[in-house]
Amino acid sequence: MHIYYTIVNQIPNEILIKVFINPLFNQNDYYKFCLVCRSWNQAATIVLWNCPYIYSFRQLVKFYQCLLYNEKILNELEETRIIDNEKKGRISSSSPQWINHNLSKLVNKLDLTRVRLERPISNRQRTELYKALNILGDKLMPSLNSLSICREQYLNYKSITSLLRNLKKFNYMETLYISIALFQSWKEWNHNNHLNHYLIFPKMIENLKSPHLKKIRLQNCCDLNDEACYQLFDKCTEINELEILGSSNVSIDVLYYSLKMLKDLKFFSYTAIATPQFTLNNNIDENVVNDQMTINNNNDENEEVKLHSKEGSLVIDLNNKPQASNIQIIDINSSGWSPYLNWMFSNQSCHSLKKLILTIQTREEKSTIYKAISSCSSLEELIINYRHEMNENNDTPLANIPLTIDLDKLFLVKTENYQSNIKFLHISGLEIEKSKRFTKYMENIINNNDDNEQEKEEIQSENFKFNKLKYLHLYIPSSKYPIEYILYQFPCLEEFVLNLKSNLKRLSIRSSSFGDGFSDQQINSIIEKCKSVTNLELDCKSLTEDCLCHIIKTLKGKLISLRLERVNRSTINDKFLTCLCQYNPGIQQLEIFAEHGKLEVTYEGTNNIIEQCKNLRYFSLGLEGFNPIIPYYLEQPSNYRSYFKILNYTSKKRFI
Amino acid sequence: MVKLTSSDGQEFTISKEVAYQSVLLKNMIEDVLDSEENPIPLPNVSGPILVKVIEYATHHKDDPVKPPVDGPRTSEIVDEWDKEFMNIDQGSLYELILAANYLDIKDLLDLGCKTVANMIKGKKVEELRKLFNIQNDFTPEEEEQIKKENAWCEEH
Repeated sequence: MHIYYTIVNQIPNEILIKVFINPLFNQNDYYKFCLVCRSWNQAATIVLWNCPYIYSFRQLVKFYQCLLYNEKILNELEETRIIDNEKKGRISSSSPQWINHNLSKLVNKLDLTRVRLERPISNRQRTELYKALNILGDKLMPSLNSLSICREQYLNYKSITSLLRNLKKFNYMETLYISIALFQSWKEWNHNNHLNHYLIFPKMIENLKSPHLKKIRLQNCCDLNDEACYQLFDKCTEINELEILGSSNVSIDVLYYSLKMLKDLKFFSYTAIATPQFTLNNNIDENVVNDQMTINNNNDENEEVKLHSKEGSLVIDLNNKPQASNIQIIDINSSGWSPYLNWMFSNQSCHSLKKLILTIQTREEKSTIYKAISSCSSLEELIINYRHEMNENNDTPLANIPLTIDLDKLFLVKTENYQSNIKFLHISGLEIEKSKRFTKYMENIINNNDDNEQEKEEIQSENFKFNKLKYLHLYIPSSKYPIEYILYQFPCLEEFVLNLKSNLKRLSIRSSSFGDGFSDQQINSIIEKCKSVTNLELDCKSLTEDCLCHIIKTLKGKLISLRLERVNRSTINDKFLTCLCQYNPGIQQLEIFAEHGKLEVTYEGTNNIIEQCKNLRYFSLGLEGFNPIIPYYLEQPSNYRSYFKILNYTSKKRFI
Repeated sequence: MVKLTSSDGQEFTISKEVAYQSVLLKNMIEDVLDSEENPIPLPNVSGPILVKVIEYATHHKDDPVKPPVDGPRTSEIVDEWDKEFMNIDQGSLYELILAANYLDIKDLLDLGCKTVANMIKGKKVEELRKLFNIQNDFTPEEEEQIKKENAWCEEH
C-alpha cells in the first residue's frame, strides 16, 4: 500500500490542477479536495478560487466572510513573522501554524449575476449587501480579470455604487458584464431615474481605469448615455467585443463612435428598447460648431468628434474613415443604422465583416442590405428581420405597409469578379417581390440549357454567384412568389426553411421542367410550418411515397384540394390512396400527374377513393385509359352519368 | 528509426512517426541528427512505463491533429481502446501520467488526468485518502482554517 504514497506526492501541482479542472467537479468537490492533504489543498484552492461561482445572496455573504477570515489569518502570520524577526529568527512554539495563501489574489473571474435578494428586503440584508460589495470591491478588484454583475431595481443605488466605485482599481480587467434586471416598465424607470438624477453608469465609466478592457456588455443600464459610451471608448481603446443591450438612452450613434474609435473592434451588438434611436445630424450648424468642445482628435487632424457644449450631444462627421477595419460581426436590433453602414461601405471598411444581423424598418435600410451583399466580400451570414413600427407607447405595432425584398437586387449582383461567400441567409417578415429580372434569368437558363453557349455565358455574366449558400430560411408573410425559382439556384443548399403564416390556406410548390425538385426533408419542413393548408399543389419529382403519406397525415382532415405533379411511377400506389381515404376523406379535388403517364395504382385503390371520399367532386389521375371500377351503387348508366357529372371526371366520356 | 533508453537501461527502437507523438522527443530528434545511432536517454521513465507509452503512441499515430482547447473536451473517456489501455494499477497510472507530462504527450496526459478524475469523483475526504494512501499532513489549525476559508462552497 505504501508504494503509491511517494508517487502521489511526486505528482506536480500543475498535473493535479489539470486533474481538477474537469467538468465532472463542482465547488463542493473542490472543498473536499482541499481537505485531503497539503499538496491537494494547494492545487484545489487555485482551481476553486480562480472563478468562484456565487449563486445566492446567502452565499455571497459567506464568501466575503471567508475573505475576511483569510485576511485575518494573513495579518496574524505577518505579525508572527515580525515578532520572530525581532526574536532573531527563533520561531515561537506557541504561535499557531496557518497556511499562508492570499485567497483574494487567486480570484480571477467573479460572476455575481445570479445573486438576488428576496423581497421584501430587510434592513439587515441591505446592510449585509453593502458590506459585501464594499469588501469585494476592496479585496478582489485589483486582481479580477472578469466581473459579471446583475443589479435589480429593488436594490438601492448605493449598493452598486459602492462596488463600482472600486472600478478605479481595475488594472487587469478584460471582461466586464453589467446587467440590470428590471421589474418596472421602462417608462416608470425613466420617470424615477429623471426624478432622482441617478447617473451611476456615467460615473462608473468615469471611474473605470482598465486600459486593457477587451469585452464589455452593458445590459439594461438605463442611465447609460452617448457621452458615457464615448468616454468609455476614449479610455478603453482595446475593446474588441461591445454589447449595449436595451439601454434606451444610448442612440444608434454608438455604432459610429465604436467603429471610429475602437480599432480592435470585432463584435458589435446593439439593441434598443425604444425606437427610433437615430440622432444622426449631417447638417452641422457652423455657429454651433464654433462652440463645440473637441474631445478627441484621434491622432488625425482631419478627424474630429465633437461635443456640443450647450446641447451635450455628439456630432457625427461621416467624412471620417471608420477605424474598426477588422470588424467581423454586427448585430443591431434597432433602426437608424443605415447611414453608418453606408458610411462603412463607402469607405471600404467592411472586408472583414462575416456576420450581419439587422432589423429593417425603412426602405432606406432595405437599400443598405443590397449594398451590404455587394460590398462585404467576406460576408458568410446575413440575417434580416423586418420590424413593424411601434406607436408612441411602444405597445402595439402599427399596421404599416409590409416591406418587400427584391430578389433581383439581392441575388443578381452586377459587380465584376464578385463571388458571394454567404452560407446562411435568413429573411424574416419581408415579402418577396416578383422579380422580373430574376424570373427572366431563370427562363433563359431553362431555354438555353444545352443550345446556345454564347447566350449561356451571357446569362452567367448576370452574376448569380451564390454558390456557397447552404442554409436558406424564409419566414415570409405569404407564398406569392414561386419558391422553387429560389431553391433551384443554390447548388450547395442543404437546409431550406419556409415559415409562412400559420393560418396559410393555399400552398403551391409547383413543378418546373428542370431540376430535381424538392427533397422529402424540404417539403416536410415546409408542411410542418403550414399545418392549416387546405389547398396544396406539389412538385413530387424527388418525393417518396412515405413523404406524401406524411403530408396527408400532417394535414389530417384539412385537405380540400390536392394536386401532385411529376409523380414517379412507383411513388404512388394504393397505400397512398388508402392513406388519403383514412386521413382526409373530406377531400373535394384530387389530381395526380405522373411523370411518364403511368402509375402503380390499381382499380381497387381508385375505387376506394371514390367510395370513401364522398365529397370528391373532381378526380383525375391524368392517365390515358384510367378505368376506375364503378361503385356498386352506380349500377345503372343513368347513375353513372349523374355520378361523373358531379365528379367531373376527365375520362368519363369513355365510360358513359 | 529512433532508439530510446529507459531509466532501468532497457533499449527501445521506434519509428520517428511514433516518437513524434512526444513533443520532447520530436525536439530532441530534430536537435540530435544521429538519434538512430545514439539512443536518447529517458532517465525519468522506467522500462515497463515506456512500453505503455510506446503502445499508446503507436495506436494513436494516425489520429488527426485536434484543434487546441482549454481544458478537457469531455469528462468521459469515449474511446474503448483508451478505456482498456487505462485499465492498469494505480502505481502504473501515476507513473504513466508523470511520463506523459515529462515526454509532453498531451493526449496521453489528458487521458491520465481524466482517468484519475473519474476515480475521485463523488468520494469523501477519508475515502480519497484511503484510495490513494495519502496521509493527512495538516495540523488541526490548518484543517480548521481550510474549512473556514472555503465555507462558502460547502454543501449543507
